[in-house]
Amino acid sequence: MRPLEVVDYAKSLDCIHCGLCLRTCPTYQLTGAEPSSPRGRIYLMRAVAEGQLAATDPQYLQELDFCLACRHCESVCPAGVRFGEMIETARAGRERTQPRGFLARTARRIGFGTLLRSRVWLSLAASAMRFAQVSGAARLLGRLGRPLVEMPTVPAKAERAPLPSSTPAVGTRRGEVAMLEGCAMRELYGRVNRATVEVLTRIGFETKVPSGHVCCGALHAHNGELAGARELARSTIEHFERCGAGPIVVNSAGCGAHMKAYAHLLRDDAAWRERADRFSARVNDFSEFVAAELPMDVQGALGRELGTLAYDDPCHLCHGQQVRSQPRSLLDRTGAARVELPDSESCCGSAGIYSMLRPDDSKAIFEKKAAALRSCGADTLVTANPGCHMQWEAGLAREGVKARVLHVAEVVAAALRQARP
Amino acid sequence: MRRELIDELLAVLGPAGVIHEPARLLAYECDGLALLRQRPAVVLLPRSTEECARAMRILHRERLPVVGRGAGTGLSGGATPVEGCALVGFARMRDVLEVNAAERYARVQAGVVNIDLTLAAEKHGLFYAPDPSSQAACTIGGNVGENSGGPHCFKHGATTRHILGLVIVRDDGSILDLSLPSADPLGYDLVGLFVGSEGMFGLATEITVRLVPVPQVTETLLAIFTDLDSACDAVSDAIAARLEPSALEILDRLTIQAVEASVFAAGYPKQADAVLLVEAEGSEVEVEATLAPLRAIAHKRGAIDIRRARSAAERKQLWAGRKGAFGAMGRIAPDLYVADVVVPRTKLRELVAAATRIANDKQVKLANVFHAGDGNLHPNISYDRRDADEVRRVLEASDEIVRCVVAAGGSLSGEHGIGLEKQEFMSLVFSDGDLRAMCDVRRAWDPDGRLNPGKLIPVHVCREMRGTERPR
Amino acid sequence: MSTLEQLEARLARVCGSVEVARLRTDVEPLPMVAPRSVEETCELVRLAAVDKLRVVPIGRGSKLGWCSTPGHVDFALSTRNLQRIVSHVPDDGTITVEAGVGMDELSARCRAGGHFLTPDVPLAARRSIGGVVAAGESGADRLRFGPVRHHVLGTRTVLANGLATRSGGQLVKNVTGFDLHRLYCGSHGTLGVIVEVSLRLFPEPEHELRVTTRASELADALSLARRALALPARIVSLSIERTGDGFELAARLFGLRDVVEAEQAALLALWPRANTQSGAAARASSEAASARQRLALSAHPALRIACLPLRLDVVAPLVQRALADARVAGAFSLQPGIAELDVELAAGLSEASALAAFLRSLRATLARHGASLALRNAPRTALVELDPFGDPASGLDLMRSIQRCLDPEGVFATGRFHGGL
Repeated sequence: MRPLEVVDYAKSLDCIHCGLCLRTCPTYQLTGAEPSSPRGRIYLMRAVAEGQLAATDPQYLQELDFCLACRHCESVCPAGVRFGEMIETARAGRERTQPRGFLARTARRIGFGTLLRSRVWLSLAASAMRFAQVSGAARLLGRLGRPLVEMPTVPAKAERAPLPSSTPAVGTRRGEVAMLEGCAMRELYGRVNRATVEVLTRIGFETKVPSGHVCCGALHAHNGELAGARELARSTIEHFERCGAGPIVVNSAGCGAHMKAYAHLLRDDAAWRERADRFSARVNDFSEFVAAELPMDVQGALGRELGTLAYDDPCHLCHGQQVRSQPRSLLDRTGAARVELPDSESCCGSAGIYSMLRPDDSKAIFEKKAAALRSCGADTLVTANPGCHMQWEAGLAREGVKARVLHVAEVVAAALRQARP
Repeated sequence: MRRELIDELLAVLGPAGVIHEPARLLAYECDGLALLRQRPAVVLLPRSTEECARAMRILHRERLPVVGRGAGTGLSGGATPVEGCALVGFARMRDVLEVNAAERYARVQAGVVNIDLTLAAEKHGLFYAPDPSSQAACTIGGNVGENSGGPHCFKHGATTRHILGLVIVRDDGSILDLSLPSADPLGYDLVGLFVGSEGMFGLATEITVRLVPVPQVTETLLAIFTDLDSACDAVSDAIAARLEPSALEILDRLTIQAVEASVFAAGYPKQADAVLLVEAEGSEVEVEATLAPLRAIAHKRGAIDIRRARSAAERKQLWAGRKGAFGAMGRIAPDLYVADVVVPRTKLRELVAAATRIANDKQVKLANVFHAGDGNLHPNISYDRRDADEVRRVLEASDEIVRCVVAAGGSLSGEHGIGLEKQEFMSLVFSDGDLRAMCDVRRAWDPDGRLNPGKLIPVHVCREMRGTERPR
Repeated sequence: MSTLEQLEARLARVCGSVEVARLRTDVEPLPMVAPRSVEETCELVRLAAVDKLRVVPIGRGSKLGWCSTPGHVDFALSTRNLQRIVSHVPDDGTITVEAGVGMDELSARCRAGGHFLTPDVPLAARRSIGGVVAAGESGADRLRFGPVRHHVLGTRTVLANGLATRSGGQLVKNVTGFDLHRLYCGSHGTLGVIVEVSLRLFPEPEHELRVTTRASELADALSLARRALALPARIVSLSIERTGDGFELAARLFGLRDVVEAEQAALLALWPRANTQSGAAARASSEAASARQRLALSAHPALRIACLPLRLDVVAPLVQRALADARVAGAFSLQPGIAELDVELAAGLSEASALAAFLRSLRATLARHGASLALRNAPRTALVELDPFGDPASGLDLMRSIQRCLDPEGVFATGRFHGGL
């Protein structure tokens, strides 16, 4: 394979090595190592493209894996380097040039090829995980079981029930939206999905959920499975086209950012490019949509029952979608007391499946976040992404910080309940 | 590099403190001056003065050349590795050790990022004044090495005026503790001498800096001009009128367009040929007394509009645009040659025009963004390093600009340093005798010439010096 | 012809005439030459180098008492006849002059160009800019402008090899080459003869005021000073001086009229029973009334104590007590903003050994507070036991090494400065 095909050479040329990204990069902060920074990684990608470095160099591949793809660097890059896209391409290049070992290959095939494509398998896996956690079997598995022991307990089957394909608006009907149920969100945070439906319907939107849809393919794209990601993108577009042409509401930041970028993903597919464009234009993050539609009477509905809130920006919401003010404004309108979380735009270390692939790095990165939460003294941490949600719950438990973790939708739902009993 | 030597360094610095794999070393082959590249033999990332000193003792024994590196944002090749060198980076020495608000100083490790120091000081109503445009990336150690400037140095002075003390690891690994903060020390001013020595005297590991109180009032104006000459004249007039704002910055059309297309879009009008960014600080009375005559000057020189930042957020945005300007040039071409020269402030217009003329002659893309109040020009040339002919023209243009500036009484560098970039130009401003004196002083610090060798002093002077005896 | 006469004849051939100088009142007179040009200066130094003579560079000789008694010296070389104004660009705010230009003349010239010259030193008519820079003599206006070394943009210095070498330049911002001028500034002629100095200038004030008040106790005076210094005002200098029955505080304010008046109002609100003088009267009394001026004229031994600003509140009373205990009388003046304390030992401690013992003990006490003590006009007998500049600081070996590298043959007489340099 020619080097130019495994990295985005043209994009690497946008970087003029100014270094403004360094301070934002979680892995650079952790190590102080230039090759573990965006500038360094781009430098290595460019070297690969220019033939100075083998695309199979283990140290290069290691640096690709080490990146969280949080895209914080994009938010400060004056040259507008699209690092998120670059790392996806480079990781896809990696999968093509450097075959993984048997175990890794099998695990990836099961994960990306089976679980994330079938609700049946996914649901079974969730049940199995819950069993391992609750029965204590996970502990017996040793290192293999460690991620299970450390993650929050998977909810019971009833909690993981599918959302109704359509939920009518409460009160005056103002319109209709389609909502992404999500792969992980449904299995791990069904309560967030139900809160989302509750908010949407209470503010007057009939909420549709495309039946049979499982995954948007974001995890595939972030982990170098671009072919799988494209397939899932096309399928996702089809599913949502069946729910009409109205707004699509996504309560998972990673999925939303990815779905907004389908046009880029399918840019070389003439048959789908425009469809993808139209689709992406419909996608809204939960906060983005609701902030514009929330009625006045929720104002101040929430008292002090949730204590002091702190909002942590999911990377793919602030850096990926430029959504920063809306979740804050929503929270403030509920009347809850809110403090700013220091460094809220820095990654919590969840980064999709990163926390499972590199648990030690992920935990090291989280330490600063826990310290930030402690320093601002909030009782409730609010996020907007299932990966971050899980990372915060597991991390706070590990660090012994007593704070609960909620999704923005859960806070808004509670406020709406107060406002209209 | 020999495996035993790497193991020895690993024993001192730990696995995260030694980078020796060829692919990872590649990322260190240049600093902000990407034109010049050389892969180091090894990169060392100590966590403390003590670790740094222990590693330096090993390097001394091995007679290896040593190059220091902060964040690698320098623009003169100060941190470009030399063949076979150990590159000592400070990216793991990022602790603010002390903020003494009462005595208005802070002690930091060399790898603290400039803006992190200001953020730490801000809590006490203080700030660290030198603010290079790269302040969100560059380190205080690097700033000390280069005697860095920045927009607000117009009022507050460059780095050297803000350094009260240093801990230095010498070439042989000994530690020189000059950290007792003193504004006006007795004895030779080793601290003042060290600042700006471009890594050729030692490695500063801990730095005591002066902090200044956050002003009561800060006002920022943006004056919009339809030509660059008039903006330059407005600045010359302001200097001649003895006005003392805290910053006077000019951005030209191409820079404005690049910035406005970036995440740091500041609302500079894209159709303007130049904007003049003015800031004044102090008491309300003082700020008004400074800005009123400045407004009049801008109008007299033909400003079509003068906007005022109405909030701290707006002010921040205006400055974010200015400070992101260098990076934003990546939109124009893959590479950027950031020139850095100083001219007498009476000759701004003349020399900015001369640079433009030279760029046109050489058919290279020139953008100007500069510290006008200090006469510190940055004629920035965008290019593509893969185009050999363009690279040649860029170098020719920069050569001509430097010669033209020196002939008009200007100097080689206002804040980026000499490094590898301008070393051969040194003979334009200094005689061999001047340069020999610099070599003599360097010999006292670094008798073997192992620290950042081959920088700053032109090659013919170094060669001449090489025969001379070592100090007794 | 004696050796001395031969030397005088040779020196006279270079620069016309030879005078006689005393480096200190209690040492033998020396031949002194005052070259009329930089070229003559170079020639004299070369002559010394070739004949292995030892030279002491001096200016107008006003601060010779600051230094220790040198070892062997053959002749003194004064820069007082180097009187050229090399360039003055008022609209660029810079001036370059030869070293012998008097501070009074230089100051007047700057004022004519609309600028203020810092340092504003006492007895300007007896001082030359070369001497001020060589001694690193900052004025009380260091509070506003910083030390003199910050405003020296460049120097031309004749080194031991007889070459006039440049460092820095004439521009307000410049990082071209090592800042050797920072090294020469304050080196008391031990490294070379400063023959030309470039300075940065500041706007001539539109309005000037001197606000004074009184306090009966030192502690009260210090407290009034602290409060004034906490004002958001850019006070030029602030002094406390012991008078017959208490202490006088004086603050110098200057700048734009409106600003100065606002600062005056703030100060008057803090200082009870304050008086104000304005304009030329203010300037005249700032200079004439200052104990610094009297100290500069005094031939008595004097102490200059310096520390971090707030430590002066501890250090000053401590020194006051020590002086009282030792029954020493004389001028007592402090600059709380820059933490300098000047003490004249006009009466008491007349025995050299008693003086040395007193100073040793005081120095030890002060060292505990991070304060330094320099002894001026010390009798030669006391200097046998004491270094006038204090105990050798860290870096002394390096300082010696620098001296050896620049002057390997010892053309410039050693033993006058810090640690025997």
